Amino acid sequence: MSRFNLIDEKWIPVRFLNGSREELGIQDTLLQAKEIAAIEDPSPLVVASLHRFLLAVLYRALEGPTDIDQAKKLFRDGLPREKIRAYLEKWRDRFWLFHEKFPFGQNPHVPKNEIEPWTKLTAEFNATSNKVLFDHTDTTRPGTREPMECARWLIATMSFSIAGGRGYYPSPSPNAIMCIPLGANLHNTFCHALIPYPNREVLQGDLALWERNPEVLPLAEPKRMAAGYADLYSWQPRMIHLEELLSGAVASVRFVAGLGFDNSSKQPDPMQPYKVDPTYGKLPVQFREERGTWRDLDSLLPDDTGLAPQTIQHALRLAGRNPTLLPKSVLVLGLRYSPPSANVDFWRMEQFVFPVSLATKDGIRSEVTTLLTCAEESQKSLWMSSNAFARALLSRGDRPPDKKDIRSVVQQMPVHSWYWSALEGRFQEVLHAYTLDRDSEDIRCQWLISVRAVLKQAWEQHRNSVSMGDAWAIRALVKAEGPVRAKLKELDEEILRLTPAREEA
Amino acid sequence: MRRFIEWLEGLNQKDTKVRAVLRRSLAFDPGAFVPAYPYVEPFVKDEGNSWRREMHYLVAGLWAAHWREERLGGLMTIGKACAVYQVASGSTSTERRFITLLDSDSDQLPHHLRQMVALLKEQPIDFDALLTGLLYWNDDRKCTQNGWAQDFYRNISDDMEIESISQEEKTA
Repeated sequence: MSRFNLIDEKWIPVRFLNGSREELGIQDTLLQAKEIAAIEDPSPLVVASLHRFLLAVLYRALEGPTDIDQAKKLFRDGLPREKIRAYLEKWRDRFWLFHEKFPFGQNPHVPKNEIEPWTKLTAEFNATSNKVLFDHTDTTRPGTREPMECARWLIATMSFSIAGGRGYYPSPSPNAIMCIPLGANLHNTFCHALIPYPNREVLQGDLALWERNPEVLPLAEPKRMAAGYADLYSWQPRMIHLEELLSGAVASVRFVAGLGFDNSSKQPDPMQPYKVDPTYGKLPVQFREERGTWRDLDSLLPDDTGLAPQTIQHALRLAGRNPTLLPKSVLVLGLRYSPPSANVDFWRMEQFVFPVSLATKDGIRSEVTTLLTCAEESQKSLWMSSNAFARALLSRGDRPPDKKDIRSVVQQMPVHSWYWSALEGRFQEVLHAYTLDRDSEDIRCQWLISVRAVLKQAWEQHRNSVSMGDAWAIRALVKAEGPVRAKLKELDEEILRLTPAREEA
Repeated sequence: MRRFIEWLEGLNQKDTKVRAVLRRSLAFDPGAFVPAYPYVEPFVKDEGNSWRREMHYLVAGLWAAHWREERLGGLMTIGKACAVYQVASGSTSTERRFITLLDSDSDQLPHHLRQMVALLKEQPIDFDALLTGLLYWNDDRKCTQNGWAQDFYRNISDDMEIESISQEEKTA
């Protein structure tokens, strides 16, 4: 009756330090963490969720860390193997994927008539009502999937369920950027993200999903706050039951609304960066469709406001001032959807290499913010010129053109995406220029030169694409170039102001 | 090319009927009025490029029509001259005429240019620059048309209003 125990079965996809790839069970993943380079899966949602799930296991198995000293000890001495083994053994019966009373991560009380195809577990395959472009899985005949895949998707559903339809509650943080500092091996990665409990009381109240009995439906208390990190990382926003076939595969699931997450503003997610909105206060930074994450890179850098992801702040505290212990890079991943729509707009996974000085130099966040603000302001001039171009192109008489028409012309202009993609490469160069002994003014000057060059080239490209048009297009081009020319002049002056200072130094 | 207007000025000093003949040539297709040949042909002899030849005749005619004794002030490009005329006269149709001129094909160009130059009788026009621009009129990149447009719009009091729409509105 009990089948597919997640502790031993191979279902977590990992890459070892020697480059080989394999699937491992929970126990092997945790015990061999020093030989594993990273957890890897085609879906960013699965990668993020597996990290969160394994962290929940560690929080419960280690019953901590409760302070920075304990965290440093784990980082230095390794994860206590016996504690992990003992914990997993104690809860072995709750890690069966298929079990009559305690199927892992599921609820056996979901009514039998709430049947959905297995695709309901995933964002990348067609759901019964939300179709995915280019996926041809037929939800009326979905075929079957292996238990290891279903286990991964079950975990991803827990972390990334979105709101909308049938009174579904979202996961605690489905719509935010999640940041996982990556160490030289998976052990270091775990330690970076294993931020200490704020106090022992929280530790004692914390329980992971598998340590609670499956709740009877409908829920007596549909919403509650998270008790601790393990609870947060194993939240159950959907009640699911995998329907096992005789072959051992899964074709359908039972699927209903799960547990609501209450008062998320008071429980910041340790993996997320935050920003302060003048109207709404502290909000998580989110992915934006036309905006690369590097443009918000400053939000990942710690300063005294404490808005950077706690995982990154903790990783830096662990390393102290020892650059060899710092995370090698930061994995940034998650999805984007626009409530109340229940469709995923996109999901994203990016990896940033952090130069040492970015992590250790004081005041670096404000310096990087200044650079990014400069790029934004220059782009604003490009946008104003584009807007003026569209307006002049559409207006040939006294009647002003419709704003919607202007906007649609501006949106079709490739100049803005080109500007940002060209500047991204330059930004990476500037980041690498950040060394402890490098002068900030010097870096700023280098950046201004890059911004100026990219702005000029972007407008030149637009000019070249338009200048062969008719006289109205040429007229629009000439009438529109004022803001870009003014910005170029302003940048020239600033570069000139910074250049003598650089030469003197 | 620079020497062409100098050449015409020189002829004008020697013979008063030069301008009259060249002015009259404007009533014909450029290069089709035989009496003008003695004044332009020596400058374009052995020229295999018919467009180049025609533009010399056209500019010679325009120069003659536009000539004034004791012209004051520096010479202006045609774009700038149009801008100055529009500002001075307050005429709202100048820009439209200018646009029509910019959009002219080879056949329409002499006619529109004649009209425009007639309009700009008070502005000292740089005919050497005009000739240089006309020689590249049919270039694929439309350098001349772009250059004239820049001269015009950069010299006109800008009526461009940059709307204060926020960036967010763009993607809304």
